[in-house]
Amino acid sequence: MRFVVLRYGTAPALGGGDDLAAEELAGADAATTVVWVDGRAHVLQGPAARDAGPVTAVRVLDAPHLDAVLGSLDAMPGATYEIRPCALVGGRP
Amino acid sequence: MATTTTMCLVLLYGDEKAWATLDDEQRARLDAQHRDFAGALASAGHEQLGGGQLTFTADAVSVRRSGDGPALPDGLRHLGQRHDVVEGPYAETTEQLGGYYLVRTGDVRGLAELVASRLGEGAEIRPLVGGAS
Repeated sequence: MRFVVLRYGTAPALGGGDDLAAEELAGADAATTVVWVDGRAHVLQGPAARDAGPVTAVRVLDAPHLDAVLGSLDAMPGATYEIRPCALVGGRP
Repeated sequence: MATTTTMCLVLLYGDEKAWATLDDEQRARLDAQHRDFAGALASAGHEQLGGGQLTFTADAVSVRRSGDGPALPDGLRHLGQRHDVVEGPYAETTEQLGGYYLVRTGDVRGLAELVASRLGEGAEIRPLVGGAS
C-alpha cells in the first residue's frame, strides 16, 4: 500500500532509503496559492491560510501496513505527522 | 545562459464532503480534468515527476509528540515514549488536502496559472528546499 506522510513543524529530515519521494518544502512565504472565489480562480503570492499550519515536508512510500510507517517515524521526533493512504484512481495524479 | 528550474509541490485542497457526493459522471469528468492537466503540463514545458490522490481524512492517522496539544481522544495508543498516535487528521479544517503533483518547472507563476485554468480546485504551490538547478 502506498502512504503519504505530511510533516507539520520542524524535525530532522524526513525520509528513508526505500522512500519513493521525500521532499523538504521551502518556507510558506515562498508559496503561490490558487484560490477560487465566485467560480473564478485567482493566483496569489503566499500560503493559503490553513488552521493546521503549513506542511513542511512530504514523504511518499510503499509499506505493507500502517505500523511499518509508524515504526519508521519513531526515529524522527520533534514534529507532528499525518499519514494518509493513497487512492489508486486512473487519470488522477 | 542555462534556464533555472525549480522543483515544486502542488498541493490540491478542497472540500472532501463535496468530493464524496460526486456521482460517477462527475467523478469521470474530474479524472478527465486531471488527465488534461497532465498533458497541458508537458505542453507548457513543465515536467511532472510524480503525484498522487489521497484517501479521505477519515483514513488519516496522526502522530505527535507526547504532551503536545489538547487532550487526546479515545482510541489513543502509544508508540514508544516519544509519540502519541491518533486516528484522524492532524487538524479539522474547512478544506482538506486531496492530492498533489511534483513538478519541475522554470516558471512557477506559469505553473500556477495552469493549475488555475485547468483544475477547479484550490492549490498551494511550494518550491522544494534544494530543488533549484
